Amino acid sequence: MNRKLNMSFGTGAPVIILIFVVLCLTVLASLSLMTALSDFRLTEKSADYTAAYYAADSAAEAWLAEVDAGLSRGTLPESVTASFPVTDRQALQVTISVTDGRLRLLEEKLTAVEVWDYDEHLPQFSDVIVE
Amino acid sequence: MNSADRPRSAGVSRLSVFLLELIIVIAFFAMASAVLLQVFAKADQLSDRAENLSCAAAAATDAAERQRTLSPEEIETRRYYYDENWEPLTEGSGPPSFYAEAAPEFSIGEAGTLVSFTITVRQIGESRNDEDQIPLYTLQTKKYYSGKYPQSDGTQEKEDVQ
Repeated sequence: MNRKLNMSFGTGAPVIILIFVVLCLTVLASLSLMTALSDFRLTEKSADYTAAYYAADSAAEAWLAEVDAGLSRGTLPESVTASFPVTDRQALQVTISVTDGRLRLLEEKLTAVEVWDYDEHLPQFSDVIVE
Repeated sequence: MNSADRPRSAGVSRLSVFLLELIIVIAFFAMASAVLLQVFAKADQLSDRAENLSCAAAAATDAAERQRTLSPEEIETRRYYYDENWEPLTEGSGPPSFYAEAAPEFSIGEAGTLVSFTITVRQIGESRNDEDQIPLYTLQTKKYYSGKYPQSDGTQEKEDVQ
């Protein structure tokens, strides 16, 4: 019994392997490019937000300068609170107090521009939890 | 054709078709790899840019806050250096790869001084020339001091706001 085992690639096998490998590489390359691109866009958004926050803070400091200049002339400020927009949804709110012709910075905080309307959304279920 | 040569001829023909197919496959793979390598390189480049931008924004924020906590007499143009991994460098601890420069501009008003800081973060090129510096991020910020600065005699007219 002299049987010979024939283990050779048939015609077309390298093409199938090539298609599989190139397809895998293409998917991996696309995924890595998409991830890198979304990461870069997120970083850009974050950097833009930082710049916007400091722009609002600069406007607040300029307002303080204006109020202090008014106080030196004996003019009291119209309001002790001012709001400076950071984004469409956020603003930097500054509160001061004026005592004996001198201004004092009391508070500087980020606030939401729009107040959440609880009645806007209908209840999802009608069960009575507490009576 | 001799009948004894027939199997050998068919074998050679089959082998040559296989080799021809292999050559075509390798050539196509080389072309596809060239394109895909460019895509990988672009992804790597974008990832580097994102990392540098993120760290540059953090460095600019850090420089801004450091400047804003200084007393008005201490304010001057300052540079904060970083190595290639964005670790802060002390003087003489190694060659810097990035730096954040905070340049103040004094604007004296009626009752006080408004100091505008321009913070620019740059990447230092390999040649280390001033022309070979890539700007990464710029931040503008202001700080108001109730008093007039800089003063020639170094005295302060009024106390700071905060």
